[in-house]
Amino acid sequence: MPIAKQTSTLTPPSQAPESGNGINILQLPNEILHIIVINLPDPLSYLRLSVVNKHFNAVISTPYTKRCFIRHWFNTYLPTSRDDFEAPSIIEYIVRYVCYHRLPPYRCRKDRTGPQIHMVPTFLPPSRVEDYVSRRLEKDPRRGHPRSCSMRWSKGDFGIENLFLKIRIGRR
Amino acid sequence: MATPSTQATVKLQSNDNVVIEVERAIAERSVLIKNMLEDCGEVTDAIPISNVNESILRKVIEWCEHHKNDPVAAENENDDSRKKTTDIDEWDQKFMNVDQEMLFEIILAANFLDIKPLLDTGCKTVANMIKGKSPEEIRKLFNIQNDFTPEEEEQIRRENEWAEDR
Repeated sequence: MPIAKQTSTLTPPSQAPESGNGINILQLPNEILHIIVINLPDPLSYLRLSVVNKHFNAVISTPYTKRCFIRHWFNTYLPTSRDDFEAPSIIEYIVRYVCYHRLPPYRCRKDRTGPQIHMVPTFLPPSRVEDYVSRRLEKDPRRGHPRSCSMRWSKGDFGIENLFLKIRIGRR
Repeated sequence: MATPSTQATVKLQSNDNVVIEVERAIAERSVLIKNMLEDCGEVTDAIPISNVNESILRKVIEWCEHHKNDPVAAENENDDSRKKTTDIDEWDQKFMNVDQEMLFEIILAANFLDIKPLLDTGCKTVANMIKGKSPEEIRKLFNIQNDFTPEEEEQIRRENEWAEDR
C-alpha cells in the first residue's frame, strides 16, 4: 500500500485546478512531503527546511519522518560494495556532531580539495588553557554547552599548523 | 485471476471527461487500476479517474508506456525497500523537467493511481530541487511565506548549527 494513499483521497478536488493558478508545495499532503524530505541527500538540506516555515518545520520534526530519513540516508550512502566512496559523508556528519557537542574548542570543516575533515580549533591559546579548564570544570554555569568557550585565539600566538588536527579518511 | 489476454485495452476517463484508450498492460502499472480490473473482470466502460485531468493523465500514461517492461517491485511496506539511490534515470529526468505545478500534479496523480515508482521519482525530483539551497532560496523557489518571528528563526538556526559546514 502506498504511504500516502489515504490522504490523497482526502485531498479536496478543488486543490487540483486545471490550469493557471497552480498548486503550491504546501498543498501536497503531508505524507507526500514526508516522501520528499526523506529523499533529501544530506542532513544539512534536511535541517535547513526547518527554518523555511512552520509547516516544513513540523514535517521534518516528526519523529517518524526523522527515523525514515536517517534510515534512508544510511541505506543510500553506506557502501554495500568496496568501490563505494560515499560513506565518508556519514562519518563527516558524525564527526561534526561530536565535535560540536563534545569538544567545544573544535569546529569541523571539510577540506574541499580532498577527502579530509579538519578539526579547526576556534580557541586554544596555551596561556588560556587554565582559564578554559576551570571554566569547564566548575565555574561556568553553561559548561558543556558548545558555546561555553567562544573566545577566539589570536593568530600571533603560534603557528596555525600546530593546531590542526586532521582526520584522514583514506580512499582505498 | 483474469488471464492477461482477456482484454487488450482499457478506457480511462479524466475528470474533464476525456476518454483515453490504453493497453491493459500499461494501465496496470497503476495498482489501483490493476486491482480494479482484477476485481471486476471485464470492464468495457471507461474507468473514471476522478482526481486527474486530461493533460496529467496523458503525461502519466506516457510514463507508464516507457516503463511498461520494468519489473514490478515486490510489494513491501517497508521504507527500506525503496530504491536505495537518489539517482534518477535520464529519461525520467527529462520527463520530470516540467513546471512546478505540473510536477506536483503528477505526484498527486501517481499517489492516487498508486504508481509507486512514479511517485518516488517525482518526490526525488522535488528533493533534488531543494538540496543545497538556503532557506531563503527554498522560500523563493516554492513561493512560501516565512511565518517565523526573527527570534524563533534564530533559535532554530542555532539548534541546527552543528551541521553547517564552517
